[in-house]
Amino acid sequence: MRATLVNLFHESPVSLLTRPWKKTRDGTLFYGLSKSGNIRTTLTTKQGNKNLYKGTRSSGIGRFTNHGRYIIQWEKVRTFVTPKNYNTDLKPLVSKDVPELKHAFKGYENGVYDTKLYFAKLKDYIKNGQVQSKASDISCYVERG
Amino acid sequence: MTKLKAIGPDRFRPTQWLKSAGYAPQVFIFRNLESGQVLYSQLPNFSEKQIKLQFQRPNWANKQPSARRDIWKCMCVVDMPSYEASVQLYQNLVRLRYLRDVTYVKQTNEMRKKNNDGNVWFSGQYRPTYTQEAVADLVESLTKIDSEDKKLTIHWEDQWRMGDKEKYWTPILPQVEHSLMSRVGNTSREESSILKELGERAKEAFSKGNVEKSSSV
Amino acid sequence: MLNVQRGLHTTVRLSARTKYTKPKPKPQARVIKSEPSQVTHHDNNLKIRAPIPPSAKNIVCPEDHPLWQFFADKKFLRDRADLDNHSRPWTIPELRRKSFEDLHSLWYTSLKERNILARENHLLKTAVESSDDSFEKVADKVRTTMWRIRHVLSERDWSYRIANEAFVEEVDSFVQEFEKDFLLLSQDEDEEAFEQLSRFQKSIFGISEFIDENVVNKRFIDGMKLIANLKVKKFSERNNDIKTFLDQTPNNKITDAGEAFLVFTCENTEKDVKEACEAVLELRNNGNAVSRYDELDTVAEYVNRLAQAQSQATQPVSEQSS
Repeated sequence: MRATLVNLFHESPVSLLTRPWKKTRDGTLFYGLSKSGNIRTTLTTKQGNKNLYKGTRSSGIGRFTNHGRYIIQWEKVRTFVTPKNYNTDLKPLVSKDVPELKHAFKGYENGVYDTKLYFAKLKDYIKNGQVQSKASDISCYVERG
Repeated sequence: MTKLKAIGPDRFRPTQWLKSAGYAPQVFIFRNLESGQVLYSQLPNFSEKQIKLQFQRPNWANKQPSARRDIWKCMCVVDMPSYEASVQLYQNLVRLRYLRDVTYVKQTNEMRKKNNDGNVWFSGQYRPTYTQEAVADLVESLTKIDSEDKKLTIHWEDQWRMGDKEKYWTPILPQVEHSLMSRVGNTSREESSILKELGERAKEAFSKGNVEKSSSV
Repeated sequence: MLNVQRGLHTTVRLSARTKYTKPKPKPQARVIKSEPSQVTHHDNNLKIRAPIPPSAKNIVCPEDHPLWQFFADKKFLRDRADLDNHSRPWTIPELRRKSFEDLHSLWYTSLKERNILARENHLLKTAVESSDDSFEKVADKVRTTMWRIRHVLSERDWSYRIANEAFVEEVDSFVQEFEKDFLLLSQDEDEEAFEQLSRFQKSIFGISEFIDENVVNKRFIDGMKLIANLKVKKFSERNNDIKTFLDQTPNNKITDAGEAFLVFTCENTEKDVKEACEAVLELRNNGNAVSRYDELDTVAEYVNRLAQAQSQATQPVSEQSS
């Protein structure tokens, strides 16, 4: 079998990671640019210290029986719950022209976690039901919280 | 351990046998997942003996494949209008294989796609040309069988493998209907039952067609 | 003819065929009635054709194929200019204003968007071998939105827990305040008042308006009694019968669970409450009181019965409509 031309490997990033100790006749490295450096390849399962977990945490969803069969335990299987009423109007990013909303928490020293704030909101809800707060208007950019 | 012999597909099966054994007029084409080689069979299974018959001149690029069931998959099933036609199709296909392997080796080789070294293009053990030749052979043998007025159906495992429909099938064989095999679930595991169901359906269609014919006469 | 009575040695000699004996007639050719089992033969004009390569032209990809969700505008790779380079991630205060369902939807939309970007970025790095990081930048922004969603949910959970602990001390003043406001509302504002009441029972005692959704526990029974009392008090100012009923009850307060259940489940109108009060009076006259120890079981049974009766009442209607 004919060897593939060395020049062809120069561009590929994968070649930078393999066999740097081999040299061609003119003294340049067979692959890669330098021989030093120890972070060339990703670690395998056999490398790293005892705490290294190399896996996708996608396994371990059941157990083996004494006869070698695998029984899937469904409570261990990852599930993705889709929203019941999928609101497709919301987009992952907001336009840069919309000013960022701030929450002031004036008078509530613990911020969101303040119980007084919680009770005030609860009373508000009981009295008025679900009402849009001030910040539903785009021009408002500071709110109580 | 004594080896169980599957004599079903071992022998050549004439029309009468197929009828009395309850098979439909069908031809089954299997393909090898490792090498891409193709095996023709009259029954929905195959045997060692068929491999010996259909690979008569093995060489390093075209080895006699093993009869392991897990490396063979049904590529397509051809529903023929009559038992005679189905047997003849099988004979034609096997004959064409013989012609390719023995009589016209040179011509066959010229038509194959080559790699830089001048060998048949391959990747590992796999040579896609064998499957492609089998499709060409199927077209050729169907054109030679005189059944233009009757409908025949080909159930493909994958539409992709049949080649460009507009170019290779419709101009030459307009009467052929193409359909897709069931792809729901584990088709490799359920293959035998899928083929069985196809057989049942073909038998039903065949008997219905016969009734219509007799009533029209 | 042969004389059979001769001995064997002469019979053999006589029956042996010599060149002088007359040959026997040849047997007639057998007529084969059954047809040959095999009549076909392969054609002799078969020709070898060039191999037919597989083709993707036969396959039509449906417009709504689920894998299209991994593509933006059904493109292999978007242009850098088409990317959303200038937008900013959602801020935490903005997300605080959203309901759980909205946050859940937004999480899913972001996840899908990140899948698209990751696919494109991977192609850019491997197939095109470019070092452009604009896809990564956008994906990072989307990631920011996602961690903020989780942050807001965690905030909500913690504030709920903290408030729940503190609520034990607050609950009495809370209830009193509500009672005062509730009784102050005039007859014209009845509708609003009872809407407030339903929100109150839902948020403080977890009692749903739909009877079959409820789980009977101590909290439910406490709430039920309180609401029954509120209702009676509300209408006692307008109706003398209810007022006399309230005066007859010890401490002006319904304490029996069975009585409370009757008033609690009646409609929010003067007439229905009056009827409920009369039913309660009848109960008292018959001496049907629910013991404090059996409250949970008895009320659970009442709730079940009521739910069944309601479902039976609604079922025929739905059948007719369908």
